[in-house]
Amino acid sequence: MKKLVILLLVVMAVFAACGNNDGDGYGEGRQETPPPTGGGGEPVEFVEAGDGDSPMHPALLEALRAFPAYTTNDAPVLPRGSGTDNILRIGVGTSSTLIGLFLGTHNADANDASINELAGSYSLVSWDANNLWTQNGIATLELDREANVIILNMQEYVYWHDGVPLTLDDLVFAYEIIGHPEYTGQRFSPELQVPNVRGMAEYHAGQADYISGLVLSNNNRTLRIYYVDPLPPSTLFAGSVWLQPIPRHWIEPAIAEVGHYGLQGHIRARDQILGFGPFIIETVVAGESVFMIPNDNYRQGAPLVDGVLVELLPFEMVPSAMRAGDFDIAAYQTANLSEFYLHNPTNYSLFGWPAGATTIINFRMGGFGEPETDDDGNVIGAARVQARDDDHPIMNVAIRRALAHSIDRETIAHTVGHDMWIPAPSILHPFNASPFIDINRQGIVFDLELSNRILDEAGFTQRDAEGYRLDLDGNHMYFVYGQQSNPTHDQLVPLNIQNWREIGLRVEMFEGGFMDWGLFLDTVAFTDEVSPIHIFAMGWALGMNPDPASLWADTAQFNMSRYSSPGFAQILYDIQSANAWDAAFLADAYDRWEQYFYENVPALQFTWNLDLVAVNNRVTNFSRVRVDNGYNEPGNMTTDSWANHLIGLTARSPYAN
Amino acid sequence: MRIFKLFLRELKHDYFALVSIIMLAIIFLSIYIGAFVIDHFYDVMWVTPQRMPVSPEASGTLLGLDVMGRNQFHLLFVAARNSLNIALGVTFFSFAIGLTVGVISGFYGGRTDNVLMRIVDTWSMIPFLMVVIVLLVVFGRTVPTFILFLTLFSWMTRARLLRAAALSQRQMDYISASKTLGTPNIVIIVREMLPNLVDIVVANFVLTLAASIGIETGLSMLGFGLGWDYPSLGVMLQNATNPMYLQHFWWVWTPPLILVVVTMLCVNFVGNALQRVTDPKQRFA
Amino acid sequence: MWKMILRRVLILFPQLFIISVITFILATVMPGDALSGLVDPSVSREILELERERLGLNDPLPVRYVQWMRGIILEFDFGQSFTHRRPVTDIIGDRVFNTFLLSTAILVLTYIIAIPLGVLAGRYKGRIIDKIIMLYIFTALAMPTLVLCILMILFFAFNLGWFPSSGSVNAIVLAGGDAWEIFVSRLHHLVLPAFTGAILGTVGIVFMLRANIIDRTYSEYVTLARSKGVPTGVIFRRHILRNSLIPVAAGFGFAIAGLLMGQFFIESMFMYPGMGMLFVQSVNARDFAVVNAIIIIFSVLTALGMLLSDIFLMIVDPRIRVE
Repeated sequence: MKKLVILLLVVMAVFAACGNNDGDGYGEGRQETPPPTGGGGEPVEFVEAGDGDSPMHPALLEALRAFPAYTTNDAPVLPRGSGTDNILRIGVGTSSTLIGLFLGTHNADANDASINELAGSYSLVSWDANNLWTQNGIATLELDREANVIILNMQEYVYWHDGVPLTLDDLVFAYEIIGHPEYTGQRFSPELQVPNVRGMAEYHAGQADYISGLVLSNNNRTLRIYYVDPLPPSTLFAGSVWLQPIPRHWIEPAIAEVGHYGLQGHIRARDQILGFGPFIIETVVAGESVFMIPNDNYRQGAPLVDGVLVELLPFEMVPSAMRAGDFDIAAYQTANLSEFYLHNPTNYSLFGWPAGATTIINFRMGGFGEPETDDDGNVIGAARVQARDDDHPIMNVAIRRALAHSIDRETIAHTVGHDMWIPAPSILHPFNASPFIDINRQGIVFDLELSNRILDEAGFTQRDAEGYRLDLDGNHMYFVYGQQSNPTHDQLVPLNIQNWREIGLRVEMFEGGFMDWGLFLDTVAFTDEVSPIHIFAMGWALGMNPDPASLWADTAQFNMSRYSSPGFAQILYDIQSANAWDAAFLADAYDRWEQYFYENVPALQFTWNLDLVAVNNRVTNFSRVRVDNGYNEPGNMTTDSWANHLIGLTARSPYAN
Repeated sequence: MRIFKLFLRELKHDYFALVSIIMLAIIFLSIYIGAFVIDHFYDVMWVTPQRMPVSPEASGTLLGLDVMGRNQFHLLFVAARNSLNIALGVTFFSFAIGLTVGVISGFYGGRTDNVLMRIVDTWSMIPFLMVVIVLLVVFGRTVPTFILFLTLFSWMTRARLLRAAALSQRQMDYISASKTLGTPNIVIIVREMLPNLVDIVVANFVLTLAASIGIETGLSMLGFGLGWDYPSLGVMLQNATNPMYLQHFWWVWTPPLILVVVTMLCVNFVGNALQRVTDPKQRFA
Repeated sequence: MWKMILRRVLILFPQLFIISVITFILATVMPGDALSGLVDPSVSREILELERERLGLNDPLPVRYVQWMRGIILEFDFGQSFTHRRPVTDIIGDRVFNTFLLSTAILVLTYIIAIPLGVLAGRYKGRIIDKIIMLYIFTALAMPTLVLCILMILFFAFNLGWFPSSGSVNAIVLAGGDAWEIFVSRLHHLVLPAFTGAILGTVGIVFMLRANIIDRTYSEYVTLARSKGVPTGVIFRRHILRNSLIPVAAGFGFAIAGLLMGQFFIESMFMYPGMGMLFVQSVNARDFAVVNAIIIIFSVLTALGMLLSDIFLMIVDPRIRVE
């Protein structure tokens, strides 16, 4: 008990430190972030990277320097009540449509999720620049490792848009929705520690009416969440526990009408969601746009704009639209950058931030075996990775290293990426694992000579009539590269094949060309068998939790390389083990993780990307970094940082070029 | 044959068609010969990634480079040849099927005609473009599948056209005469009726060719055509859907666009001239 | 005549049945299903499998077909859209109005432009005006749809700023404006896509109209009338024009059916949320509940359109009745 109190006090004291926000431009605006504490209560220093006050990798810092992180427009803001002049216009470049299912427990589309942050509910506990939980959000979070419980205490009085107070009972309700046997969304997942809640198993099986592990007290302003299995160290990181409340008084009647199964179609999960965010949804034009009005009772103060209009447009049109002054804010893709540099517009600027998505080039080395069954044939364990048994050269480390060193990421980062991309020196990504990345590590570099040497030294010296190397038994080797077409791969794939030809390895595209996306997923992602494809790349969005188990455990569906080895498994285990509560141990485990990938190359992270947002010059108070805005918490931003309640407009309409 | 003599006579009066046919000859020949030569000497698909397409002035080539560093001038020939191959394939096969069905239906009449026409009708009801898109997505977008699916949905119009022609021919005396003589039906069809249908076939063939080029282009531009790795005019034109390319990188899409427009115009003029020739009332001569 | 019409209508049913089977098999054969889009490490495989099971994706084909048809015929229920997570009928319902509006606008504009042009070209065949119109027609014929769309957007929407480049209506106006303002906003958004569509649609009609007029100008009954001394103008109006317009009007029946079909190219480029854009997006997302529904609807509409055209022709042109 005493240890817990000490932990609590130290944590609170440490997290209460606010950062400084001075100056203009990037770097100086970053907050000083106190490191999390280890099990003993002493703060531990992580390896410092970059400027000293920023944990970000220097290469990324360098790329980011070209772009500001927040606006410095000092002009007076249009006052509330200015009508349509004071409406923030946000453009979303997309090749699809607006789905419109905003409810926090159900949304599956990135645009829907972003709108939910503005007009719906968001996490009750805030986090800092290192993605660790902080204590100045709506609620405080305490992690009691020994008792295996998370304690949440509301410290603010927050109201839903209809005036009803927000309580932690609404969070309990969210768990009741997610855990329900008829739930149709994707949140019932171990990464959110949802199935781990005590009593959830019974509730999920339909045997209980409520979840026994969720205990409310203190007039519903305190919630204790009890867990069954010990909490892994990753729960220190934001996004690892589900903390988004859903208004019980609003959604429960909807469920009574259509059941849990029909909730996703009900209008209260869509156009009429109830939130406590800075804006309230007013109209949704199906598939195209959303119009929101300000919530004057927002907990951090009334928004400065009279409304927000979010519109969809094809992403090739974004630069032209921004130039014409159609939008105040629009997300840019790297493909749009050519146009930006060609036009050199003066009416808007680009703001950059590390993107929360990555692409990994995988070498497929196996498939999944049969799941474990007990004597009756019931499945008791998940299927495990089984290595290839056909002795294909891809299993040879030298081959993989040679392949990796011949991937010219630098060129692609320069051309398709416009130098906004950095060839990743590590398998970790700065979006969620900044403190653990070793800045001195150079990683895999593009070096054809080195590749040739690696192959020669490994014994692949014989060549066939066309100049391709033969394997160690003197047989022909060939590899199959499967990929779907998109601007990056259109350049990367032929370039890779050409370079691999230079080092004597024959690589062919699957069935001679680019694959259809659905076929690609079926042959690569969703298959248990050893796929005919040896090399491929896949991309996805990153969570805030750097724990790689969901991607690399030998039972993980998303172990794209289908790779496992004792050393590998040991590191994964270490990261999740109780020892990892010790920051030094965790840092060492991640270091070994990086080193393992460098030496064995089961996969290669492609690049670290920046994502860019175009902002018209009339906008002010827009920021992509967390700034101390004078309230008791740094602005709660989405990674896109489309808007927060402080954004203001200084002119009657967006400037046109 | 008669139609060609008439056509040549018509050409003297219709300057558009005359110019068109000369241009078409030049275009076709240069595309096929040029593509053959280029394929032999250059590796058109070698990739040197660029940030943006390189202009003709900057790269020292005739038509510049695209974003993958490929020479657009060379690519144009290869792409045009591929597009023409596909269009020819589609036209040829859809005529083969349409001719067979149409003539049989028109010649035999009665029950056969009814059944065949019902089939043609049903098949026509399927929204052609949509289903082709779906089929391409399912079975992959390669040259054979393209030709197969486009043919699958364009033979109906030929069938109808040729059926009408066959019907009107059937009434003619020479057919009745042959039947009276006891000539087997097959022989009548092939030896007597077909030659008279050649006029219509030729005229329509040319127009169908134009349409096929247009469809392949359109599908590719929408993203359902052949992929980046198989150059065709439609794929090259896909760039024109991007406002950035439209405004700044003209050399990537203007040559294919001009080629497509000119070719289709010429083919249309020639085709129209041919059609006029088959209908005495409309001839200029 | 009525017997013939009845026969045509009766044959419609087996034809529709065959089409439904074909489209159903087609859509189910597609690799990957709508759940493939949820590639996300936090989604476990078991959950995806359960979802597949629950949505009935693993049942044998004939069972699924019967389910699907039963749903459609009895309840007008085309199933659930996976990407949108709503009943397909809802989604299509959202878009139908938009497409209807756009198609009507295109149709009206097309005929308004095409008929005068065709008449002029036919009447003054060989003269300069005919040549100009033909040039326009041939250019429009050869110009790919998408290129025209982009040119229009770049010029009228971005350059001149006269019209919006995307959407069907302004959300702000929809929220706060009155009915008139909303109507104006919709019209405003319609202008560019409608004109683009009309320009491309005039080709066939002008061509056919012109050919028909020319055809009739040299026909025997006109020559007879001329030799009788009837003034050219009267001949033109009473004999030629009226007869030439008939096939055009017949095409109108077909076009009416096409009203709900939507134009994919135009809708996609103008981000106009209608059936065409929905189709393209659903194919890309493998949302085959929607794809199936749209194909079936269009097939039915096409069939009806063909029927309408045939009936109209039969009524108006006695020669066809005899056939």
